[in-house]
Amino acid sequence: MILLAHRPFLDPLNVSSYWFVLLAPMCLFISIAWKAIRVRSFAGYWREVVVMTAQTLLGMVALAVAFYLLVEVFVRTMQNR
Amino acid sequence: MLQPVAFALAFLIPGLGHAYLGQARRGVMIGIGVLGLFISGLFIGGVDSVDRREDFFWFLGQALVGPVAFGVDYYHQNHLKVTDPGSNVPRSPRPNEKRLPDGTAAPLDASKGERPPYSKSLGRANELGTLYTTVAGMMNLICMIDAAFNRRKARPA
Repeated sequence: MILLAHRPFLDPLNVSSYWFVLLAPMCLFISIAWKAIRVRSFAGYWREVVVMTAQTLLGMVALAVAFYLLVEVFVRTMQNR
Repeated sequence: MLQPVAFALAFLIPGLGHAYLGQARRGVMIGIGVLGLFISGLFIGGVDSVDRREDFFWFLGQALVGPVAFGVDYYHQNHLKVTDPGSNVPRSPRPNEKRLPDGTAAPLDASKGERPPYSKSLGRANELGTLYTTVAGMMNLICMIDAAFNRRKARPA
């Protein structure tokens, strides 16, 4: 098997095993742009960016847990009734 | 008060609208956020993440990043896609095809180190690349509206 070199921006990354990790930088960039238009002054700007990123990620984790419980526990319980 | 020049500049280059209003630091952060999302999306999903012909509705969102999105799409459509020899329709090259100088597809010779001009992105890479680049456009729309209706002139930026 011949492995060809990855060409950035021309070939996609092979992210199938760690795709969910890439949600973190997306949240970070969204927070950077969002907080840039929300803050009155830039004192404490990066702290607000980090807090928003963490809140968004925790929200996504909470949603993932909720849907896992819904599908794997609640639906299965109802199925077995 | 409506600021049409700031709105137009914010569309041309993300963050330029705020810089025009004297809020350079705000503009730089907007540029980092929006262009960071767009470039990261291209890096993850490849150039195939921006495709006006195959993913038109996603491109409506990506176009809000401004001329850079149109430039990427132009390069993708005119310099990377191949023309199908049978139907004359532009399409992504197959893994065993190369692009001839006139744009038509031809079988490649892997032993000579030939490769297709780019790889079609599929699955998670395509989903994430498209999501990143479209969210970049959505964020820039918010920033364009903020620049157009900017009321924080008196505030330190």
